[in-house]
Amino acid sequence: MASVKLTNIKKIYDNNVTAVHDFNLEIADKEFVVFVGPSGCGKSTTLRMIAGLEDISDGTLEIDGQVVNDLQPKDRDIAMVFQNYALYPHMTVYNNIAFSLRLKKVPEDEIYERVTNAAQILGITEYLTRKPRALSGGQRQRVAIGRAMVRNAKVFLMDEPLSNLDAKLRNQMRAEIILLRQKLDTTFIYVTHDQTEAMTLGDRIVIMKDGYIEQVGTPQEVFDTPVNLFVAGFIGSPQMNFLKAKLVQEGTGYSVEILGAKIPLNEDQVSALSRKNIKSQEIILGVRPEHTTVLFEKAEGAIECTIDVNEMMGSELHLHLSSANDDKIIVRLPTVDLTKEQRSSLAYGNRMYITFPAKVMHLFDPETERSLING
Amino acid sequence: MAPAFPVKNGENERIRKKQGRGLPMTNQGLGTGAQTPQRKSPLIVHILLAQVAVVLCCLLTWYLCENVVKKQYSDATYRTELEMVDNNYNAMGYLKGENGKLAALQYDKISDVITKKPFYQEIVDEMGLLHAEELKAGRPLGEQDLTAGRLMERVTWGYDEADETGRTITIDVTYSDPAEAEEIGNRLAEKLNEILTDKSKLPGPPINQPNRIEHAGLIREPVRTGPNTLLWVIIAGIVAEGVFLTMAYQTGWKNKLTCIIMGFANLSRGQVLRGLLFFLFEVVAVGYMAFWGVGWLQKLPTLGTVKTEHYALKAGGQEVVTYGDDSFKILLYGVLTIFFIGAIIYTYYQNVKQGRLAAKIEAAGKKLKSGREDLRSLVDDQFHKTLLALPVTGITVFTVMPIIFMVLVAFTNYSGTFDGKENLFTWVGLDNFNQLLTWTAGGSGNKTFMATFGEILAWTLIWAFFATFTNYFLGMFVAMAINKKGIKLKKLWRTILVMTIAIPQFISLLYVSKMFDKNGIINSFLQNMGWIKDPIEFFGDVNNPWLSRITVIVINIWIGIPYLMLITTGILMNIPADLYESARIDGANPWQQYTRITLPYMLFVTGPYLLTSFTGNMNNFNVIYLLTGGAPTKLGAYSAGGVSAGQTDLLITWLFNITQGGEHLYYQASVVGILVFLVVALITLLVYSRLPSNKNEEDFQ
Amino acid sequence: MSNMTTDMASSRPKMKQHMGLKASRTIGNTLIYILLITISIIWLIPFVFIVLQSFRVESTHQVGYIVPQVWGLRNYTELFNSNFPKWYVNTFITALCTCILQTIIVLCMSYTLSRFRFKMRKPLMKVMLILGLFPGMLSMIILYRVLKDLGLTQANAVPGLILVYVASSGMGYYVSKGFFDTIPKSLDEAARIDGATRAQVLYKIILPLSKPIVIYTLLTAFMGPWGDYVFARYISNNTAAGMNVAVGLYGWLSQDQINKKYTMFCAGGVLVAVPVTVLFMCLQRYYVEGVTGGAVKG
Repeated sequence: MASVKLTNIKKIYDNNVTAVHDFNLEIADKEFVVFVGPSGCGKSTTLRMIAGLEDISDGTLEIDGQVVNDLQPKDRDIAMVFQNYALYPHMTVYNNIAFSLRLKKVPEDEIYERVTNAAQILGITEYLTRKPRALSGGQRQRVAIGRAMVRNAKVFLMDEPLSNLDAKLRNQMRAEIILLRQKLDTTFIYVTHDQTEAMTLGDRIVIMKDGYIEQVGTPQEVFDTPVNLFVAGFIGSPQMNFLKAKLVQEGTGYSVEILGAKIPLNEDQVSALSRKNIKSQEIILGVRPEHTTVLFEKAEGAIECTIDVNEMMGSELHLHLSSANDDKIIVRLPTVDLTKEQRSSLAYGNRMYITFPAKVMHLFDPETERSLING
Repeated sequence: MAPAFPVKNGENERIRKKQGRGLPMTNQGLGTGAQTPQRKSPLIVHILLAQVAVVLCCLLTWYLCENVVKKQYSDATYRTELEMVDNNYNAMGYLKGENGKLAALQYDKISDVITKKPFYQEIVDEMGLLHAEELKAGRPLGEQDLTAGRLMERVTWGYDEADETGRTITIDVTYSDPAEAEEIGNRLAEKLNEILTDKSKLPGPPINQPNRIEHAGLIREPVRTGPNTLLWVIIAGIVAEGVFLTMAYQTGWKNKLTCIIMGFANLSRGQVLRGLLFFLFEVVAVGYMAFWGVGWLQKLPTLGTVKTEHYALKAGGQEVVTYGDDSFKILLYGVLTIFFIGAIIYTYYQNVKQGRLAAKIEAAGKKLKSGREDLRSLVDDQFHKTLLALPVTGITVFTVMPIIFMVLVAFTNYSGTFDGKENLFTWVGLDNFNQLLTWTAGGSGNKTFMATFGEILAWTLIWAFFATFTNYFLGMFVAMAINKKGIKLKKLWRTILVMTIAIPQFISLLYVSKMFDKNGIINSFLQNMGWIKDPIEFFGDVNNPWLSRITVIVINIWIGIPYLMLITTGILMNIPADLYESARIDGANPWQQYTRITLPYMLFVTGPYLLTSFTGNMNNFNVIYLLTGGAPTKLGAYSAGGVSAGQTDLLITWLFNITQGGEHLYYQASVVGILVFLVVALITLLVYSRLPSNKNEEDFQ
Repeated sequence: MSNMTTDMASSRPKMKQHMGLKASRTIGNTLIYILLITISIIWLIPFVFIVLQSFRVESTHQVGYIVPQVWGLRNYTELFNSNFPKWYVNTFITALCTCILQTIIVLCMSYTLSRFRFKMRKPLMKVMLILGLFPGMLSMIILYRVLKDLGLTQANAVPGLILVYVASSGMGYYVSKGFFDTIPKSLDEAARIDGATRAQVLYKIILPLSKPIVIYTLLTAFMGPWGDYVFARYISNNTAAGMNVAVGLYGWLSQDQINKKYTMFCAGGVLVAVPVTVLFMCLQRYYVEGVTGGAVKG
């Protein structure tokens, strides 16, 4: 069993700067959890606290039920992959991987077995006699993973391992990490600033900002039901559109008024709102680009916009639009079914119309930034 | 990816606070709720109890000092003299040999006779004294310690050195009891007389008259020594107050007891290693302070009062030297003791603090670190302590201590004459500074200290400035020249210059200084070329000090450029090439490139280095001393203790000369040293905060 | 640093004609070559002179000409009849012991300051900075007294000197620390997670990567005692048996001795300079790396 439990974990530096506030999380055995957020949000700090590389200012950290606050990193039975790989430059790949085993005085033949095994899984067997400086970035990354693998540790920590790779390699390695996870069957804690990695790799995602946890949930949960503006804007690419709108309560029903369009909310939304006793108010309306429909002609309930920029992505166009009250909206328009006239009408200043159904709308309170339905 | 609408930051903070995030920080690592165990009775009671205990301690100390600790009397010395009547006495004598038979022994000196064992042993046995040591033969002033079981006695033999036959033999007996001393002295003199005049024992010509025994008398009275009761009571009071007051603030009997028995808090909780270490420290500390520490501290305010005594009854007669206080040792050990007291207070504080922490940890239900864990952590998380132990100790003992000591010396009159042994030195307060900081000239026409100091300081600053910056810019220039594209054999040029760094500086400097001598190579060369007629006195010309100064700076360039070239080369290669390329496209000429790109970058990186180089040059002893020794010396320059200040002297070479000169005015050297430090520190502080490295770090990164 | 011109000059006849790029560069380079040759000569001359003078046997006092009239090895042989060998051995032993001990101490200090973060770190560095501003002379007097009481002066100056050199050498951590700072901390962290204690990190990971700085420190520590005049003189206190080469040779150039000993001085100088220089040139690469790498980092 290799569960990890963080209770009220805090990190406060000497100059009274708080990097991590009151972090609470329970990670189940063999779960793959991703800490994601912008730079400076405290995700790496939390990871390093779990590793034992930073002191825990307050709170309890338990690995497998045992409190490990005061344990040295080597006694916590964890393995870590660093962003810059941190391979020992003066040792061969074999020795790099074998280093930790030698420290534990594991017999040499067992070391041989484990190292060659790991090398085979990672596809680096032919590099075992080379030194790190003779390897490419991707190969080095694999060695770093190999070094962490052979320890058969309870918890596998990864600190932005793909950040130093180019885009193509990154995609490749992402897939390999998923495969690796199936082979290794350990608890993973992964830190990244890239929301794509978070979504594809994690069983659960922990979204952090400024030292606080904004939301914890499965990728689907944080995508479908973000609890606040930050999470909504962070997850999903292109970013969710935020528009100024008004929530109107009419009797038992609610509708959203935006730029002349009035969209009534569906049953679930209405019940959620009335449960919380929410009245009419100004709101920020969130709609994902992929959930909007683009119309070339005006329709009932559609919002009028003008085109600012038109980005050709190949299979689709990303249109940057401005609404009448100057909200910026991005929409995605597949190109495969467009007529020639439609294509030529996609110029700067031309008018487009967008609609979206009620169920894809996210409603946020402008002051608290929390979701009115999910928060 | 931030939301499209910027939300005010303050808002988030408020919202989060409302949601109850962010609890105040409590004890590190122990989680919320870790508390010091509560005390049962109110604090004031404990404090009052503490005061009672203090009073009891004082009374106890008083009692011990007055009645229990043995009062001692220092020894008395009684002198007897034996005068030989016959001048031509030939020192020969038979003495009892080892196996009891008479042995014929021939002596050249009387001292041999009287220091040989059998004779002495007789007396000792006769007197019933205990255990005489082997006598050491051959020393003109023989001194033997008879370490008896109860009493110490010392018998000193001496004879008139000028008169080899030993006309007068002096016997000094030092004994605790004056009467006994007298008796022993007399008996020794008589016995000696007996042997020397015993015809049966001497083969040589007989002595007709007996030698005369003169009773010289008590030359040193016994003096009562013992503990200074008042001092001890005061010390006891202070220490007790500290200990018991601390005790009052502790909770739990374990922590209270640790205030008296250091280490108890650890021992009683199973931490044997730490507990023992603390306890051992306490034993050592108390032992040292009681036996030696208080003694040194006592003498510190006066730096010793008991002078070294020389006893001589007859003019020209030989003396007994009794060493009194040594001011140097008092100052040294006194200061060390003060530091030791600081260490004691710190360790004591740690001891108590650990007790409190241990109590908290126990209350929270956690385990304390065992001895083995402590040792293991010394190579792991506490490894820095292990690594730093030796270097920091070295620095403390060999740099910090001497500096503190010498700073204190500036407030004494320690010098060659008042060196603390023969003549005690003492505190003079700010006298040295006042005396030396006068601006008005003395009547002799010599400059005062302050004026000379000002002159030397001015030259030191000028020297440091030019030495640093000529080397810097010229070195940079050479580095840039070598580095330029298109110059071949870069390595060769650099190697030639680097080679000159390898050669020990003193050889280069000494040789070059001789090259500039009156009959040296440079002058010969110039004369041979017909450019000058008379040799130029580069270093010795009193009327042309600036010639020497400039020569020194020029030679220093020769010494310094290779090193500067190395440093600047490394930095030059790090300047991104595209900075220059874009400048060239913008139309900058080489000079502009230099001033706008190269120079700012260099100054940024080497700013701190330039500063340390400047201050280092201010204290650059070798170059000046080996080249000129400070010469030329101007007439009318301040002369202190026979040492004049030269015109290429830096403050530091002047300082050196002061210590080396006839009177060894150490205190003056200290004053100069302190002033030098103040100047250098001031400059460093001023410049460091203004350095671009501190202000504009972002611009370059 | 020659005059630049742009390619457009050829296509825009109205622009001022500068010298051709190549021509101006050649002139500039030639000037620089002349400069470099001059500099090399000036720098090397004194040493050439010393070597030449050491072979002069027609007289022993200082003369105005350079090339000896009579060549011979007498100056060298005379050295062995004087106290020179004793001084040489003294200095060599001092240098050897200092080199090893000082390196250990400096590396301990600089590694700790580079890698560890503890409360007293910044205060410690500030204190050492301030201590360095005091003139070293001051401590000499008291150190001499203390060493004298310990019996480590005059004839026994060598252990005394070693003690003095080594004990405070921790203050010279600057360059080594700069070097250690360039080794990424993540190496330490990876090793610690792999199970190494901090001590093991030092000697299994960091030290193997620190060859240049170790050699640099060894080299500079070895070279130091050969040239130290002040301390050596003070502590040996005019006892010939305790002097090092610097003090001894300096004595030969004093007013009363110089006429007899000038050429011997040159010979002695050569014997001192040659081994040290050869050693230095062999390890030159490390020295340069140390200076350019660590010396000026802030």
